[in-house]
Amino acid sequence: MKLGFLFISIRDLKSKKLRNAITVIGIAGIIVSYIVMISAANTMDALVEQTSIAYDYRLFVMKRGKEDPTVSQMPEWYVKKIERVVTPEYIDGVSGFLWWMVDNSTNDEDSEFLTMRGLQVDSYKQVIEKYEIIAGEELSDAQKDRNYCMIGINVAEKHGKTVGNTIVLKEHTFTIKGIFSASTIIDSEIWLTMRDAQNLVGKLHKVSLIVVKVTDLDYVDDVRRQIEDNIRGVVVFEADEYMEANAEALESFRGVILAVSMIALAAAILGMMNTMTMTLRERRHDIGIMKSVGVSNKSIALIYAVEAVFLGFLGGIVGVILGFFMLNIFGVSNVELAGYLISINLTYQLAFESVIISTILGLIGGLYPITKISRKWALDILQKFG
Amino acid sequence: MKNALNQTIIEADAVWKVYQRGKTDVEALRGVSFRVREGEIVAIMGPSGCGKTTLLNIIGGLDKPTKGNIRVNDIELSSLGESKLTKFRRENIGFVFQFYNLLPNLTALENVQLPLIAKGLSKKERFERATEFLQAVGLSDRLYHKPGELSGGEQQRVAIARAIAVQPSIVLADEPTGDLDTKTGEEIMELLRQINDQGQTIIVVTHDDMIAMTTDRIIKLRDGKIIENSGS
Repeated sequence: MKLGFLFISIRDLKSKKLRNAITVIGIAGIIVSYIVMISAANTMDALVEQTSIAYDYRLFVMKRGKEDPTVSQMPEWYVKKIERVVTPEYIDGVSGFLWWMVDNSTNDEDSEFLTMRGLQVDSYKQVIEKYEIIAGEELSDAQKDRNYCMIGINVAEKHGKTVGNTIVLKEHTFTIKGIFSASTIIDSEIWLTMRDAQNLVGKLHKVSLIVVKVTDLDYVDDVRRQIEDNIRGVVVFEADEYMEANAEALESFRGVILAVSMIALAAAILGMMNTMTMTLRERRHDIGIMKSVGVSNKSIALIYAVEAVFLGFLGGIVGVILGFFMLNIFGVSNVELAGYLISINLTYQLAFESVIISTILGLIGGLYPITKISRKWALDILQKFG
Repeated sequence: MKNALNQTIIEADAVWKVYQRGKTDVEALRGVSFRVREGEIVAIMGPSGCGKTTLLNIIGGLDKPTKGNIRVNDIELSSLGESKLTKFRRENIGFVFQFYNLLPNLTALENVQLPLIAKGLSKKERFERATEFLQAVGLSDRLYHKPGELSGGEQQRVAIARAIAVQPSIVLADEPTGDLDTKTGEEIMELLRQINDQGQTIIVVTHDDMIAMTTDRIIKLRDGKIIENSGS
């Protein structure tokens, strides 16, 4: 393999500027979509992981047969009953939540579902996952805080809301008392007092989920048994099991995103394969000449592999630049999926990975046509018969 | 004729070449046998389709015989694979084609350097050698011209410089004057004779009797067979 032939790659690249530019733009477009999708998938991963950690030490009680907080329904007095049936030193707190997806769409084209949570304001802080109030105050009084709400940072940012503003849910107006941030999926939620939530969705004295926080992980099995043995029709989940069910929608979106990004990359490979096939078809005669003067298959393959790799690399660079402009200049940095606001960040690592992947796919796309033609007999290419 | 004691450099023994075209077998060569001694200049003649170029391609390792043996520089070509034949061409053969076969994106200097790069010469060595050979064929003022900027005769000179730049023992020329006017054709043949005078063996495929007459020997083919093998 002789590196001295690489000047031929440069000449060839220069001689087909328009086609190469189109190829680079095509790859760049795919790399932009790859950046968006992988970043979203990474954000989802982080959300699920952080939320899972935040739910450690918690047990989740739901209606048996309806193990989904958006459809589960139990009497609110189950909260008190759990406190009675579980050994007191095993638990740090018990609190009920009403969980609902609210259709807040203004029209068909602007559909929006908000995740709403009704809180038992006197006990939720003992069991709810870790968060911080970044503006205003918490809901703390079941009576005084009627018609008030707390919103997650993602909701605040998306709707441009701050403390003191109002938000309308199912034609009821709520004043924002506080804004919270947890860097988990709860950042896309709206919290109301339990009564407001129950009135809003017409489920008086009902909760959908009861969270029990244990004092030690060793007590988890005992607490679980005590609840299930004493309260008929409920089922108790551990944090991992709960997350699995809760994150199902998120995970399925993540799966779709990854599948689409893989399809995009496959399309890029096919595009590169097409470009290189065209290039090599045009260069058949040159390749035949080179073979006739004794240039080896490996050297010929190297000439065209360098072209393919260069186009892939350039596509990656242009894709990262376009991605940067799209995310930072035009502000397309948040997408809404499964009710959650997913932020898209172009990290240095993702930029680096995108360029590497683009370069590799350039090589993969070029490899087949290059190998195919470089292995042909010189005469088959020159096609000269006397 | 040159010294008859010179060693045999090309030896063809009952060489057959059969092509498949659709369902039909086309016999391009039918048991061709001959020898060429080192330093000879030999013309291969015959009507179109008689197998001249096929024979030249087999001698140069661009093609393999279907049957029979071809021995060049003591190397039995019929048993070599494609990559070994590429190496064989690199080390033993210089090709001159009718339509020059230069790479259009490269300058004359770069075209001549191709086999030198393949041979592994350093950048300085190959630049010097390519310049020297282009000067030898009278193109010292055309080094940086691309094929499209050169006349047919000049392109063929570049092709000859490329063929001899690696100083191969055999130069194979396939109708080297076929696309040129008479005067330029004569100049090209004169160039090939000068190369032959330096000891390189030359095989020329030609239709032109006048060109053939100036060679040491003429091998005439018809329907894939040698019908005449005589000195001029």
